[in-house]
Amino acid sequence: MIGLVKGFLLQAQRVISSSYFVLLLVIVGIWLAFFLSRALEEQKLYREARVCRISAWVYLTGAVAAFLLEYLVGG
Amino acid sequence: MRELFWPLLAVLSWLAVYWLVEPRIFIRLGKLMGAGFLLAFFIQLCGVTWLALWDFAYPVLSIGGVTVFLPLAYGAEVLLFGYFLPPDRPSRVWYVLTFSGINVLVAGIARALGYLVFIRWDLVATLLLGIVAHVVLLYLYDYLVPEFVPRS
Repeated sequence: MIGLVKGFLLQAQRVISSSYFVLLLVIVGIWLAFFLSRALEEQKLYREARVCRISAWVYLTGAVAAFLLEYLVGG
Repeated sequence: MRELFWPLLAVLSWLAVYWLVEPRIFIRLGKLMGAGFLLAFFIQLCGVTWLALWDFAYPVLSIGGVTVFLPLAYGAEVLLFGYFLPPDRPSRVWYVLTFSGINVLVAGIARALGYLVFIRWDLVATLLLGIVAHVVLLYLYDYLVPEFVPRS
């Protein structure tokens, strides 16, 4: 039983420390920000929606820049 | 770059959800999406790890040999399935067949490009599995979303 728990924790640690987990978090974060802005627009909260959309674009630009730096410059 | 195929598939699926699904209904279909994610993960675990029927060429962020991005993409597909589900039963037969066909198309493209390896599996079996999975989803829809969600 202890071995099973230890194995599960080791696998969880491997997944969380993977760079693809960071990619997943970034994708989920950007998607949620864009979707939230749509939801706010649906509630007629246009100013809040615009702030949310600008934040999402900043986040997306940063993520794409980091990706390009990693793959093109970092090799 | 080839390992980005599955993340890209998930991103494209969720972009489709972003453009097609209203946020108000997205929240009401959340339970169905979660069930779809778990169902896809279970099917992939059975196929890849336990029965060794197919395998992933680039299983990025994998748990038990299954890349997490595929069930994520399937969660989005299930959401669209629930969102556009017709209310009458005869239409639902064609609807299930259409979605199963889309599954076969994606599996066929992934296989042709070398991202999916069939060991003891083929596209006809994929179609049959897709039909069974979507029929299960129909029952889950009736159970998890008891009132039909109208689209405005």
